[in-house]
Amino acid sequence: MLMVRHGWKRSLLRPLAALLALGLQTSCTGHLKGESAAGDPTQPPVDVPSGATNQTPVQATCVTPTVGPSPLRRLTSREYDNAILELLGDDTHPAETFPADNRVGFFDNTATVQTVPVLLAERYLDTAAKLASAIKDVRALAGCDASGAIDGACVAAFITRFGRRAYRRPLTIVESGDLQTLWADTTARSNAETGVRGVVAAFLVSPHFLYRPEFGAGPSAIAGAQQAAPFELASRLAGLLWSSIPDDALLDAAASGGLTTREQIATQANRLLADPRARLATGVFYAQWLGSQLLTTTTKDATLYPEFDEALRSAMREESRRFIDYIVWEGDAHASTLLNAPFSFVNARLAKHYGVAGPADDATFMRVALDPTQRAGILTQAGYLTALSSPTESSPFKRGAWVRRRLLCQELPDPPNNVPALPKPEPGISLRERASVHSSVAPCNGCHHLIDGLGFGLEQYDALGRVRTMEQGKPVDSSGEVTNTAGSDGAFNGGAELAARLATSKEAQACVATQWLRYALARPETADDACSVAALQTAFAGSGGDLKRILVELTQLDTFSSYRAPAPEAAP
Amino acid sequence: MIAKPTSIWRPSRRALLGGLAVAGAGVLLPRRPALAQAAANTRFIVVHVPEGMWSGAARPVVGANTLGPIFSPLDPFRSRISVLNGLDLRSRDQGPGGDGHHRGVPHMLTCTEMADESNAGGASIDQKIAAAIGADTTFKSLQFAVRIIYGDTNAALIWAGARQRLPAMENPWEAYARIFGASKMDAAPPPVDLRKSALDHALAEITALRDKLPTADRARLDSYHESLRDIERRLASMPAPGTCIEPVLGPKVADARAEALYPEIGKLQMDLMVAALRCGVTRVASLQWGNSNDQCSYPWLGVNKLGHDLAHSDSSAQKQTVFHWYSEQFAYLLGQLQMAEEGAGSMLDNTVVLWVSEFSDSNGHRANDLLWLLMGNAGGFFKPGQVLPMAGRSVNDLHATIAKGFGSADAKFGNPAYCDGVIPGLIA
Repeated sequence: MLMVRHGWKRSLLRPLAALLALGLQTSCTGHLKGESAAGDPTQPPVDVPSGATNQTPVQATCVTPTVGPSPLRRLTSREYDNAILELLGDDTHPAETFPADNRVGFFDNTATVQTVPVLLAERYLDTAAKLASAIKDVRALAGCDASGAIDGACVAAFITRFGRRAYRRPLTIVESGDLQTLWADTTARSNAETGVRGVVAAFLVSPHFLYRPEFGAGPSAIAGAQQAAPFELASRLAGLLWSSIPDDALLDAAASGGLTTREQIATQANRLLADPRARLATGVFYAQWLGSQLLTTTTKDATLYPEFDEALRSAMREESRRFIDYIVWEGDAHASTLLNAPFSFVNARLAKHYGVAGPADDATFMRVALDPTQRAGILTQAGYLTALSSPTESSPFKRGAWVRRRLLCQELPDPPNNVPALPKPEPGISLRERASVHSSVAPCNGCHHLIDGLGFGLEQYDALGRVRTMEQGKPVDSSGEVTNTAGSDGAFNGGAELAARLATSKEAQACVATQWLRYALARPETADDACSVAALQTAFAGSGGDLKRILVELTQLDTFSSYRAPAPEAAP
Repeated sequence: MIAKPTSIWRPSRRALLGGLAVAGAGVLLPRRPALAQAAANTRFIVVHVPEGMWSGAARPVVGANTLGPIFSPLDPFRSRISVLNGLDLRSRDQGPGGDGHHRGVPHMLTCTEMADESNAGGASIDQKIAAAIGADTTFKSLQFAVRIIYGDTNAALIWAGARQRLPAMENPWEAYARIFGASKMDAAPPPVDLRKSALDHALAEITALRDKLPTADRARLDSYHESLRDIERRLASMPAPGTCIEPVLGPKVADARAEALYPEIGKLQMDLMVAALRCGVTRVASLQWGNSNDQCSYPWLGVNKLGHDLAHSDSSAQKQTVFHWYSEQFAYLLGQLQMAEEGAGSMLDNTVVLWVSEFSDSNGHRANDLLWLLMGNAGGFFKPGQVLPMAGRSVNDLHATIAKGFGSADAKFGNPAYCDGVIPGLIA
């Protein structure tokens, strides 16, 4: 019996490493991992007979409105840098020296692993002192009269004003008083200007700045939940849409009853989305969902692929970034276009790689039409195909698993502990033939039917994503088959046909919504999120898969405007 | 590129005279008196090598004059090493977690069920030791890594406690600044140390905030509180400058994570670790080469296959090449410790080094029948120089024994269900 857990069900995505591990294995006959993880144990996994088709639900069903928990969140490195830019105008990205945020599943913002180990605390403290010391004009920052003294009155006003930005809410009287005392004490030991620097440093290591404490405010129609407080909503909006802290206009709206109704929230969301900060912030979601960091760390055998150098790698990375940014913000913003566009963006190097005419230099990227029988959307971009290959050859397993997990939101179980090795390369025997031998025997065949039909269909691209017609001296066989989906099953030949199939797949469309929700909630979904998942998937489908509107739709969900305290963790 | 990766030391007279210098590496001459009470200054190091690519090569045997094909670079240290042959990581497949890669790393040093799929369920052995012997050093412990590609649990080796992961320093230049520059800010020092008042303020705010939060959220805030307390202690007791000769690093490289630099970065991290121990800023350290699901392809060894793919291949010769290379690196570390003069001997005499890897058979993700190494005698507590059949003794038992060597009164380590107590054969 094969079990496929679908995205709307509670699920802890397997870390990406497991995806790569899928390059070699496995048995789909056991239980999916994660059975003992957080979630509702009363929700059974979807049970799909091996080889079944068209039996899997696309959308979650919502019976009684519920929302999942709202765990305490900490600023990610990216959010920290953006917040520092907002508060101090400093664009040096100090958080690049912080230890990397832990990744759970595909995303690096998972709340429940956001501790502050001593290495990070040191960076917080040193960075705060360094930034505070580097303020060029303390008087201007503090808003004190250019000719007068930096006195208690102007510092108190500064603490009120700066504190509201840093804590994303008005300071309490006690909080303001403590900071005024800190200023006075520091001033007594040095001078008034240093006192202000001391206040800034204190703000930057405050738990109210580094974390985003939420408490809710008032009753909600949803059992076990409260309404999120207006300032909490402001933080959520800026966090989701800017990866940053709210601006004054957003805080003003929170203070004046302007974040009470769904319409008001939508109005502010649209305002934030019209700002360039939204483009940068949402790009991070796409990079993490699609695994762009895989390209950053992939390696190639220098003998087999001498042309793979940093210039080509960076061109591939930039192509995907520009492509996604264009589709979402300048193009039609349709998920189907993301998956199926017959054009992309190339510099001179990448144009040569694709065999098309392009710009004269590598600094210039231009939009070019690509052969629609060979290239369609992200799936066929050189960067992903390169990242989803081994150092020596393409990897139908990595590619197939990537489609299954990232684009269809289906989980694949972890490989078993007894994986037979893939046969060694041999002239006259194609990779597909070698892989098929591996996949046809137990226990490998248990899962590989979920992987290989997708991955084999991409065999027309080599380990650098170039189109090839021959491999190991034989014509490439790029026939493939989509299986175990709710309406996209069927045979295809080559990447463009697979892309076309996915572009019209309701399951792939629903998956985009699911991935956005995971990112927005900073945690995997639970059974209590079923209504929010269903609502978002329905709204996204209703908009024809509009990648801009989904950002507003996210803010209209019950879960976005609710606060629910997390249940106590089980004792380890 | 790093011009002279091993040149962070000023060559010492002893290193030059002793003929033990490795490619320009030397040792510091201490300005302060040599440590008189060696046993009281025992250090602990753990080194993790990914994938356990033992691959069926001959294991060390009792009475042989070599440690065998993979560990032969360690033959000069044979009398100091106990070969632990056949340990079982019994907790590995119990409780929540992913596959062998994602379980093995967080389990190896904690030996208990994970709290959830992303977090270990207890403190690692090095942190237990750090809690016992790290109180009067600048850093309770230092974590080094060479090249960690994924930030998930397949790299999560060191844990201060359940759900308290300790990340490692991956960049030698940043590590250097942290270890040896902690007392002097990069920027021009302000009239007062802004850190102190900010730290005090944050501690007070955390205390006020903590009890208002749901209990499930408190542990994360507590981790910040504990970290600040640790820094506070350090700021108050920072050793005066000039007690230690600092190493000199070569020019900073643009990308310390470049695969081609893996050997050089690894050496720099080992050099920094030895320097930190030598200077007394810590007594507990760890070095992680890569994450399980190894993403290094070892081009300088002619392998050109990702370590993980190699582990699942049947290329035994290449697996042994990789593991042999890691043995050479381990020998380099021991050599550096040996060159550091201390008392009548060297720092090697006062250090315990544990070498671990998460699998015995990497292709099968097996965590039983592990082959680990324990170097050092901990002031005469251990009886090194043996090849010890562990006959299914658990890693819990090993850690319980090591903990005892560092003064622990605990009879067991990790989940006691997997622990039968100390291993007498290891003890002198």
